[in-house]
Amino acid sequence: MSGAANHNDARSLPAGANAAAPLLEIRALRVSFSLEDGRRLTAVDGINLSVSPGEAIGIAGESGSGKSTAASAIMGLLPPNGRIDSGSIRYRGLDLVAEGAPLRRTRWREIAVVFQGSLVALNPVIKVRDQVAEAIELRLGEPANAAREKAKRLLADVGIPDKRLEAYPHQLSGGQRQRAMLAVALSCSPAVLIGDEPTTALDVIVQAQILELLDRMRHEYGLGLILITHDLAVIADMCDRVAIMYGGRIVESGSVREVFTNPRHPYTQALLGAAPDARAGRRTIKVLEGQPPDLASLPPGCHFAPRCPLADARCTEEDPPTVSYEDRVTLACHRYEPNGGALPAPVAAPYPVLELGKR
Amino acid sequence: MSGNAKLSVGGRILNRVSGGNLLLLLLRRWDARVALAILTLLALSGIAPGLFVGPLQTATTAEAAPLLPPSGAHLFGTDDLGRDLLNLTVHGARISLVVGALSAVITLLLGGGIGMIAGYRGGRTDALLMRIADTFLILPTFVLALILAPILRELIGDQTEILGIRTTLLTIVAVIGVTSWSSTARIVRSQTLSLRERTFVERARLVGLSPMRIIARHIFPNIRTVLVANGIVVIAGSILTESTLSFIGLGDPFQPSWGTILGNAQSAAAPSLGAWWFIMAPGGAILFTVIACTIVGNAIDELLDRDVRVRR
Repeated sequence: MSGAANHNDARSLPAGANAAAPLLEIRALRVSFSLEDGRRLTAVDGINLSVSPGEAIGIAGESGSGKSTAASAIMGLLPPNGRIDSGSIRYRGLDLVAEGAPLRRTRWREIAVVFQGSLVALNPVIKVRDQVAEAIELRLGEPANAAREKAKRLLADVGIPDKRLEAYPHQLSGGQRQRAMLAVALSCSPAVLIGDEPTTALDVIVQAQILELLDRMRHEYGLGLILITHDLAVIADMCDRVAIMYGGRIVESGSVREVFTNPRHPYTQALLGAAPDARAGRRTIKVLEGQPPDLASLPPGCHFAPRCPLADARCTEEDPPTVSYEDRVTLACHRYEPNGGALPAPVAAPYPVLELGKR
Repeated sequence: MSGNAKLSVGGRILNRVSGGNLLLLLLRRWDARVALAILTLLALSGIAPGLFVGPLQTATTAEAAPLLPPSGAHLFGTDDLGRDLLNLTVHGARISLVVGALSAVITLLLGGGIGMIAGYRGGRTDALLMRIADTFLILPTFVLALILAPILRELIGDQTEILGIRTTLLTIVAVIGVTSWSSTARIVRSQTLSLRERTFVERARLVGLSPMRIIARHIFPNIRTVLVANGIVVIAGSILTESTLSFIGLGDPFQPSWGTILGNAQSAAAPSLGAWWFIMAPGGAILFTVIACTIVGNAIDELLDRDVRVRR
């Protein structure tokens, strides 16, 4: 397909950007919300993340772990009571957080989103083709006819048949709508694509189709992909690297292979252990007791300590530093010593085990 | 037809009820069919009274004996001056039509515009605009109209014409518009509040649409049908207000209107003379028109109801 070639030809960096700088780099990002009772809630507590072209990164974690807030911050979509306290988000070296940031020029043009729930993400009274064309017209400044023509090609590219071009969102199936959303996201040939639970409300077959499409688009367009989901299987399928978030922090990150086969952080172990595995014939799940932390009143020290079977006094007093091991894995856990950067052996956390299928 | 099948999906009717589709859905209901027939008749009388009776001069010149009961020659009877009541009533439709339509336009423009801006902007803009709307909401329309009508008439004079419409008529329209926009604004605002939280509005912001373009392109099409339903109810209210103003002599003195005819009937002591037809013709016209408008308004409301109120 000609998509990739067009994509790279069309790409001209925004002013102030540097083609040699990393595609997207997030450093020590802190995002907080003010609550009505005057307290501040820290949703994202100093995360680091970087994405290269063609690379897919999965961000996993429970609801309220800060993964969607991080995405909103990247897009500049924080609600009025939210703000970025510190840290930086750089697109090709261009700081998107700094005062007077050129967010308007990078949004959608450079960084686009596939939202969760295509029913609410598409305007019900506008034809899908026109919704795809909208951004092309506005961001790329192409005349209406050319934009509509390009929208047609994009929709064909994501597998929407020609005869559905003039359809309204409700006339499409859930899968087609999500495909259309993908076309909307790709309309300005972005370099970074953020998928915020892009397959959450879909059945497994459609989900597989959409993921396959997303993967194809990533390779074809050389997209840097950030996939936010609580579905670990999706990340295992799609991503090169994974970041596990808990209480606004990235507790463990690394290559999908390393993190998924040798989970080191007790939370990662719980998260992976909580998913029954049909193929392995494993019929037990690890039980993680307790509730996700209240972000408005986080305990000192490690946020996971109250639920961690390995926690000791140090865990509830000191924040665990994030240590990088052999450039493959980062860990924020007191159970692992920096020991010169050599990758430590996993320490199994003794979670209670629940046997499935017993009657 | 496919429209009906989609209805059963529930929840998302609003999205697909638009334009011709809405009319088709309405025609499926017998009550709306009757109401639309009445409104069509009214519209025809207003636009082309010649279809039913002679020109305006024949209505205003007396040619028969006064207070004749309905007969073959005068279907609705004659008034105290010997004018044909059918003729007068048909010609009266034009005023009701013009007042109803213009008031609805003003109400929807003001109410829709203010409601969308308040709902989309939120915060202080919202608070300020809604307090203004509340102020107008508690003003009794009719009393305000009663006071404003003679004042405006004094200010502009009642002989001048703007675009072929006499200013007396326009004052009535202005009075109705000014007093009825606030409830429209509240309805539109509440719709906008829920719409602006939807992801497609977020996306539109990301894509770089200005607030005004988001309102025009993404919000307005979604509340169009709500405006139509509301507009029809406004038309009914306007026709009533105009009739009442005309009844007490604050209407347009140069053109027969249903309210004026009723007023004439009252001053001619029609009830005590037993001339029921004198009241029946204009009164019936008002009654049927307002009922028809209300039925159509309610029917649209019901078609949208599930969707409008239980939106995610």
